[in-house]
Amino acid sequence: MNEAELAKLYARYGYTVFRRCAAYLGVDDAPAAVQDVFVHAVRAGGPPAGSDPRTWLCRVADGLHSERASAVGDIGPGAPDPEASGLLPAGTAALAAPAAEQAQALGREVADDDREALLIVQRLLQRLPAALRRLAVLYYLDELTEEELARELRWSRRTVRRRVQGLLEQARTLLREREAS
Amino acid sequence: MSDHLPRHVLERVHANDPMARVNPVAHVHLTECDRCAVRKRALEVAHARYFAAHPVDAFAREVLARAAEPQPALGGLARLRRGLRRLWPRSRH
Repeated sequence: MNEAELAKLYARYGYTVFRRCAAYLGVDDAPAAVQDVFVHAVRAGGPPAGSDPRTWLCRVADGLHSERASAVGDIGPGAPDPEASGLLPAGTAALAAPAAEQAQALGREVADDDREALLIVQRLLQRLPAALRRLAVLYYLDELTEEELARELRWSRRTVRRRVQGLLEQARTLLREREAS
Repeated sequence: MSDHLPRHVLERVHANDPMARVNPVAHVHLTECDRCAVRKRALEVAHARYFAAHPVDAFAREVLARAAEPQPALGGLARLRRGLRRLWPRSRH
């Protein structure tokens, strides 16, 4: 992969990879993680022929985070707040909103910008087992449908439905706790 | 299920992704839906802000320099996982 090809790939998908890494690690550590993803891409000779580069890069990011997490016994992201960075779109932070809006913001239909999604995912990731972290990222960040989740994660639709319900329950608990404190 | 465009589709539209299986209906929806248009604009702003902070040329040079550094040898488990991944490529979304 030469410099021009890499530049093209990064220009097209760099922000997507950044957002994903920010969900796992927080925005401060995300740029270094983005580099790791693209270093991996260069060493692999670029995305495999016929593959979808965006999906491939996202899987590399997921895989690198998963390896890192298991290597250091990590239970979640360092999670500096994305609100502070100024790199993410402006909007009302879901977790700082009034209770009714918070509850609504958990539905994908109203989680309407990156910042809200990232905040939810970051806080959820801190308490989710490793197996569910990728589900949280795909559900909240990419907004995949049940069918797409089943295909990507190789789970049955029923398993996806059950685990998404569990995810929503965790998120509601998280919001209730924040509200109470 | 919402009729609005999910984020990964908005990103693909914004990136003019050649691999995107974006339904033409999605493009029509984007021209007619204020909510999706606002989300797409927010994405464009964030995108521009990110690349202002992390320019493409500098990034590409740094990545190529890092990729050229010698890699530590893979352990047995890592080699097995890499082999398995090549054997079972997954679907895309």
